[in-house]
Amino acid sequence: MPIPYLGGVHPAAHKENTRRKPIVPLDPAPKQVMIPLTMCTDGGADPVVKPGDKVTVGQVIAVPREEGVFVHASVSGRVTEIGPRPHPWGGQWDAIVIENDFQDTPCPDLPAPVDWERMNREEVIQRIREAGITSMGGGAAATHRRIRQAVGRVDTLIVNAAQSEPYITADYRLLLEKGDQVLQGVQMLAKLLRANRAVLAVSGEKLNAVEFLERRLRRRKRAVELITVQNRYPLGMEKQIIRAVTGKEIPPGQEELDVGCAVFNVATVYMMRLALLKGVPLTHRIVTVSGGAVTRPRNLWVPIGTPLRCLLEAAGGVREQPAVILTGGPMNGVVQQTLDAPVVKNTKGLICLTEAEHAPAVQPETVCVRCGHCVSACPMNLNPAFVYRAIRMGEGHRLPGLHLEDCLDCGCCTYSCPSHIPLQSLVRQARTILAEGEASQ
Amino acid sequence: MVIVELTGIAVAALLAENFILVNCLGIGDRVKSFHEPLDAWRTGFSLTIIMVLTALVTWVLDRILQPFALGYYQTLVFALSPLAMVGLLRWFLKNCVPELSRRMDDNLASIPFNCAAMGVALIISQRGYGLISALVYALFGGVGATLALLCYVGLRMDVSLTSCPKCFRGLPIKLITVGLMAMALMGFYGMHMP
Amino acid sequence: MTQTQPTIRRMPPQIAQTASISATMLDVIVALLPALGMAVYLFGLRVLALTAVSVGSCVLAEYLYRRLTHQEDTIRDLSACVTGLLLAMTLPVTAPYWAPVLGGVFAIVVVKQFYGGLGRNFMNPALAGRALLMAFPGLMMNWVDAFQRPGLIEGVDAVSSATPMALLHEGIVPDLTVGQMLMGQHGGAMGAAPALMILAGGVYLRSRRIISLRIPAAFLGTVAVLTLLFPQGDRGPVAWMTAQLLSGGLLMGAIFMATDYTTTPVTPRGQIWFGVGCGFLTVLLRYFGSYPDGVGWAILTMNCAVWLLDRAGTPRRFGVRRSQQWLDYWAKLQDSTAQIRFVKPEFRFLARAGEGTMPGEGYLDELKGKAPQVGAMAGVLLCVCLMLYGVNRVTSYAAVRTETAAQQELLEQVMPQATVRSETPYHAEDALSITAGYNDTGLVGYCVEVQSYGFGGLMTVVVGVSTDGSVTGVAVTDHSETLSVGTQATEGEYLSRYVGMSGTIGLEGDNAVDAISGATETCRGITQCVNRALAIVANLSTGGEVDYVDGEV
Repeated sequence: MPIPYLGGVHPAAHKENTRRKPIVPLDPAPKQVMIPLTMCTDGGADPVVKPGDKVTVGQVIAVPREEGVFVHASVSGRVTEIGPRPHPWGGQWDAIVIENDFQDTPCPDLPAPVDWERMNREEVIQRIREAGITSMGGGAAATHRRIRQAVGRVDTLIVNAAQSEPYITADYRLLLEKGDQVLQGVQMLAKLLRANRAVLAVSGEKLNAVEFLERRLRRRKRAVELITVQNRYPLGMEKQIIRAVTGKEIPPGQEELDVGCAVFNVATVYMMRLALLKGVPLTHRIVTVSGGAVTRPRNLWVPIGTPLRCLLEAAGGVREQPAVILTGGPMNGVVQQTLDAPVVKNTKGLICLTEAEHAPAVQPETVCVRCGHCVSACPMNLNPAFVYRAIRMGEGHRLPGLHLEDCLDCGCCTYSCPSHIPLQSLVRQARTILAEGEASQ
Repeated sequence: MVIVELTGIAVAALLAENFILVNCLGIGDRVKSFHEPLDAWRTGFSLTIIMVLTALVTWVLDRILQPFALGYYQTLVFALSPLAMVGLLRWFLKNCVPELSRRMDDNLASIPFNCAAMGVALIISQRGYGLISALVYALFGGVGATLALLCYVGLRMDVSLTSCPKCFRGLPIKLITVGLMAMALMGFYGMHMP
Repeated sequence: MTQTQPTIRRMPPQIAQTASISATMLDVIVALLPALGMAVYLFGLRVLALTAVSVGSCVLAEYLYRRLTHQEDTIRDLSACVTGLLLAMTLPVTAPYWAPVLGGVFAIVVVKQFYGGLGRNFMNPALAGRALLMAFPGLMMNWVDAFQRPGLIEGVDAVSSATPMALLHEGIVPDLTVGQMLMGQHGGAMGAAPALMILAGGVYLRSRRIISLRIPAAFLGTVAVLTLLFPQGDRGPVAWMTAQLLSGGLLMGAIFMATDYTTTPVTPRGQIWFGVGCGFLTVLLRYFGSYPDGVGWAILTMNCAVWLLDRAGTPRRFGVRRSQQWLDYWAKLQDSTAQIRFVKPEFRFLARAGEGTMPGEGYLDELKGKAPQVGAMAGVLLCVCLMLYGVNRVTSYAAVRTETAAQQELLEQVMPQATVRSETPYHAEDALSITAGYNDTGLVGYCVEVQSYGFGGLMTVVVGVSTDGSVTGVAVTDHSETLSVGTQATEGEYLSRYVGMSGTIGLEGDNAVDAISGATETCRGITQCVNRALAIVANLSTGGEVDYVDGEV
């Protein structure tokens, strides 16, 4: 029984474009891939190849600094250059450019599969690091580090397959096509973390997947709970999925491990299983190419480092000039200025919105009518209407009591405002004002 | 039933005959109490206490004056009672509860010439209320005045009083605001518990 | 490693819900159209004419005001249209055409534009306009029955009838089935009658996500619970509750007026309390108030308290239990009041007793310091007292003389046959005084002074009852009735209608007095006084304390 709660919005899902399209490999394959050295927020990597070296699929091409993870070649071919290239997170960062020889030669030195019935925990964690696994659902934290922190402290492991952003069906297709492997991966992770309870959280409209998984679960009597959560954005955020599944709310200042939960994305878990049982590092991922402006929206199995341009080509190109191109979902994604940026480990979708789809978001701002939709929509129980008053009517003294440090930047407030007031920006502005105020004291 | 009667008096004092909005009494001269919620609350609280004390004292004095045909001293006595009560209360607080005095002395100082204190005495005398009715009337009259004050202060904080034409800015728009609040209470005129 | 600053041009999110303010207002207008259509069916084309005048005057007022104050034109957001439509729906179909114009101009210019226009007003403009028009209660309360279609021009004189709301105000359940009440086959305001269409409009608004059900549910729920707990009438609590829910402007108010964005709280819990408060005040007014329907007044009163509800209803912080909020608040309060302590005062009455050569000389110095001030005040007080005493001595005769003259005049009106009035030993509960009237032949009767509630408040009435139990005269000495409406009954020839009546007088049936239409409450109050006086006189005994039952002779 899903636990009801306030907050969140229901944007039109638009998943019909791609929900029935099976995952296909990228065709035509990219001529060259640009693998950035920074794909993990816990630390970058230093290259161990130089221009001119021949590489194979799965070969280590960069070793981590600090707490980062290893980086592997996703195609076979020759390294042509190591230099700054556009990054989907913005700006230009160093990347290793590999010319594809279209042979897809696998690396001969791949590590042997792990016997996970009798595994040594620390070895497994190291293996996950060596496979280059980071969070693939939006954030880009190093998975091994999260696992190490969480071991023994987790009561409920939540594997999040409740993709609540519109247009994106990557996790959905993964569940449908690789459901068994996903369930096995969840079990492995639960054992690794010594979790009492393993939950696979799926959102309510993915009925096919739910049915399919239920059947699998019944047949194999696995120790994984399947929980259906009412589809509402933002379920991808940790605090919301934890509340939706367990009913617990993370108190301010604490984190998920303090309430005994750990949240991992389903794609991360799948790749982790692949790495442990097959020795295959993270070199490819599923990306949904969708949006009204795309000719043939589809779900693609894409090598890391593929320029976004190639994805769009494989989806038949655009049929009309898109108003905006994003990686990620339309609510929280990053606007791309150029299609030369590559796919990185946490790119789950490439969305090209038409003018019509984008129009409501760029309407001119009118006066606040105090409708309260933003207050009802905020998943963190904040009060954006008061923030608007404080900033626009010059009542800054009200800001400290509004708990703005809880803001998730999810964009629900701006989404729901009928006057098209950029509330998310106003909240960010308010937080800057508060930070400056504190700094000056 | 006595309870019904008293409830009727209480509700009347609170809504139908709200001291500030209907009877137009009780609007003091302390400007700060119209600007800040805490100050409004303190002024209202002081007013309520003084009104109850004044009601008690004047009820007793009235019962003394009338039989001796000294009714013509009523106005003088009713005017001096709130003054005496305020003085007494301030003296008491200053000597016995200094912290409270520190916080509320200013507010108390604005009460003696507040029409509500004398008004409640006159109304009680005119209507011939018994003691309990008089005290209930004074108490809820004070509460109603406090609520009206708090609502006005809240409106002032939230509503922009500078968007009107220039000639209305300042006092006129404030009076219009209070007038609209009073208009809202128009529906309660004549309300009574049978 | 090189990196440049990210240059994201547009802030997330890149999609938004498709509503806008004018689209929302349009949806509200669409939701009101079925009710309007049903009103036309029930009350004729005058409904359309009044609505057109109302909408037109609101839009024109807003347009002209914005032009004259050099602000940008805002009639495109259709909020003035909605105000005009809602205002028209609260009027009876017999209202004169200048009524919506006056109400509309007041609503738009004073209540809305003076505070900054859309989104900045604190009071519901349509209801405030109606409140202004209630200054003309005769025009505003002239309800007609369904299917009586007053003409476009001369409709003001249509025959008025009792609406279900008026009956409910008396405590009588109207004799209509639920179906009849839903379809509006009864009298009432243009927007009050078509209950079913208003519900349909509400469903439409909810399905378009324009209103949330919190306020209507809280409002209607509170009214339902309270009317179920305290029913009146003789058809059982459920029938009473249903009649209350479907009559008057309750549905219109709960669905369209109380959900107005600007004048209601922004926080979810604040909205619920707003609804509950409105419901409570509505029931209070419907049961005990002077006007039959209190929905508009309840909403207006709660509008004034919205700022408080908003702050009190702020959602609890994510991750913090609701009880924690209260505990924090309680802790803060305790901190604040902890310092308020009772200090034992030191009374130093005899502190200065020892000073100086003679006993009490220390005090003498202190007194000398204060003497000028205190002396002056005491002197002034003494003068004032003496002046009062003097004036009283001088004028007391004149005062007594005028009072006697007034008493005599009163006696003339109340008991013309008597020449002298004197005290009696009788006391009765709820009678201010019982005096006897005499003339040469002896006791003529008794004059009883009683009070009762009229429309605007307490009325004091003196009734003369002759020894054979019939009324000799009635005089109203104190009242707060509305001018030229209620005062028609307190002065003039109406009071003479009571002369010669006896027994228990009612307003209809046999032994009835002809009430003045439009002043029913006032007439009822006076009749109640007369009945009480008759009952008192009928039960006079020599004991002194009169035992009587109000209304029974």
